[in-house]
Amino acid sequence: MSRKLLEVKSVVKIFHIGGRFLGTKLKAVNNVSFDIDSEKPEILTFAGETGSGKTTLARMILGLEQPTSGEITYKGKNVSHIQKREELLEYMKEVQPIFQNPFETFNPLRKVDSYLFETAGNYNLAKTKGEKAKLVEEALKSVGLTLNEVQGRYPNELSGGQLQRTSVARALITRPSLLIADEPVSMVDASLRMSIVNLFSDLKEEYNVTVLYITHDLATAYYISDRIAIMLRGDVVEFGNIDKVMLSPLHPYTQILLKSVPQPDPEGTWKEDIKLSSLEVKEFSRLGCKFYERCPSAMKICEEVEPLSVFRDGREVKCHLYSEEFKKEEETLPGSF
Amino acid sequence: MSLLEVENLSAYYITHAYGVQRDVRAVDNITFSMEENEIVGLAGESGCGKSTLIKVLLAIIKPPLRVLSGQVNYSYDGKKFNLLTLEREQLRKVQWEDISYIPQGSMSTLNPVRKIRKTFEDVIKAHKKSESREEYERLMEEHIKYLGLPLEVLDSYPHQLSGGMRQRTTIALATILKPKIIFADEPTTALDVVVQRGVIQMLKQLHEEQKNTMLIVTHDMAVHANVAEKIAIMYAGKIVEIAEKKELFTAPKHPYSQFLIQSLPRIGDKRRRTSAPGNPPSLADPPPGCRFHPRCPYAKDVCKRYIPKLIEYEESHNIACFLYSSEIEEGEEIVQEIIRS
Repeated sequence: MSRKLLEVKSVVKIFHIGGRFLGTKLKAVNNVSFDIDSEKPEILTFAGETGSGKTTLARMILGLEQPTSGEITYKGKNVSHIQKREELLEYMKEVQPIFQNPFETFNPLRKVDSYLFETAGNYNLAKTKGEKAKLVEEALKSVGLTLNEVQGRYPNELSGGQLQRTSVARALITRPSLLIADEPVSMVDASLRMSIVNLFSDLKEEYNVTVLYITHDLATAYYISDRIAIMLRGDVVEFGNIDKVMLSPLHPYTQILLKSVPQPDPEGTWKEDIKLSSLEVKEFSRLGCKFYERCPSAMKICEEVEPLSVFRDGREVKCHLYSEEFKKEEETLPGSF
Repeated sequence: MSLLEVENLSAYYITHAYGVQRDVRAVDNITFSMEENEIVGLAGESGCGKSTLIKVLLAIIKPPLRVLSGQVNYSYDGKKFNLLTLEREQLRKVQWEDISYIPQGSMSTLNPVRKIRKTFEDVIKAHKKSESREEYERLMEEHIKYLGLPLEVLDSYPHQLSGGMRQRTTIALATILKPKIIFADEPTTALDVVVQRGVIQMLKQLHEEQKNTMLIVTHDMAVHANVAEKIAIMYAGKIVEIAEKKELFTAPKHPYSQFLIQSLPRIGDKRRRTSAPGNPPSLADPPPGCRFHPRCPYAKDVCKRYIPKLIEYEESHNIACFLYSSEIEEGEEIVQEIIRS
């Protein structure tokens, strides 16, 4: 068995917009590769602006969307084109999603606990009602709730925080090794946000669950993550250790992104103005670097040639600023090719 | 006199079903004021009545929302009136022209089957009948250009624009008539950081140019830190603390504000943060006494029985908490009577 939990190998997803003949192609995810170790649970963040391909990537890992090219393997098995129902069920048991808006995840006319019992039944984890209740109770306990609090309740009777916790508990029933949380806190307000985020780091510590945390909230990302990938228009532009990427960012986009995070500090307000992206589709179909139009340090080469990912100071970065430097160093090194 | 003075304002959602009356006390005896040319931030959890307060301040009151007591007094340019008692026609003149609104969820505020230009025309025509077509075309284009939006926006449909662009268009629409006061309801929620920064930049630019008063509602404290001058903290239908921005961030007084400020994550600091224990109360059945007492670590006996009054603790720092004063809020019985009748 492979020692990697999840391996994503040069995955590409292309969507067609418009008509069959006249429409354009949109590369939502462009050549993304990364892997997660199975030995060491971690919280891996994917951050970036709206339309950067974060959610598409998550949907592909969950098997809701099939990659146009490239492959996704889970514990050494290719999962990007599963056909058999049993295999799919087996995979879904291991990888569970948590969605964005807790108020929309649950049907308002259905009792919240029915979702929990249904999940326990769907995966053949328990036969009798008593067994199911035990599983549900355990899952709820790990998120700091009890069955009494949710049993027989409708979604409107619970607060946003409780609902999002229930949503996490539902995902935990199957004892997954990987949780894919797509913007789990963006609809929850500041005071509850921390309790959900703390829950993820507790799950990692106590239950060895790896969490793929997709967000645009960089402050909470820094707070819980071990590694971070910054996405821009389908590309991963910077990927590495959280402290390295967020405290000394290299890619100009990461630098702008970090400068734009509003700090809860009355002294640290912004002085200079920034350029905003004009039209999204235009950026997606750019030949060279996708950040060319907005980049403060754009060069001629950026307009035409797509930069390559290079290793720099403990992280991968996809920018000509560094790949050029890299090339020069290669040339000067004696005996290099 | 201040630009806006709110006195003992109470607005509940009152519903009757199967002979049972249910009151949701969204705005519960609120008194505060706003000065001219000031940016005030209103913060609080979701469902604490922030949006309802804005609706009442704009006099957009539709059943089941009912105003039970209180006054909303505006005074500017020599005019003085209580918005809640205005006639329909007068209200129409004031709304949008003097008192403007940036609604929540800009994604769905623009009419999807009309071009943006038409929406702008509708607004201008409704308020400035005398102006010629050329005149308002010019006004529209100037305003759009000034706010740094591309002119193509005017000839697009809302679905052709990105979320951030739509939000900025909505702000442009709300400010085209140069209002005196703007209420912005969650203008940056659901936008990512770079676009969020663009929107904040735009609001600040407008404030510089038009010198309007703004009330910005959001639960994101970091946004308040960047825009607001004064911050009001709302909890369960009541304002619990109002202070200057710096004061509130460095020395919050009310236990709830303390929890709120403490729990903010900062980049470069990984210490564990905790949020207030327990769950927010239901506004349909709020706890007696101070609304925060079931979650408050300093709760005393008096907190369980009486509601603390919002008092001036220091200059421009108001708090409603028994830790700082022993004044009790009045008017609770009167409101109860109105409900019963």
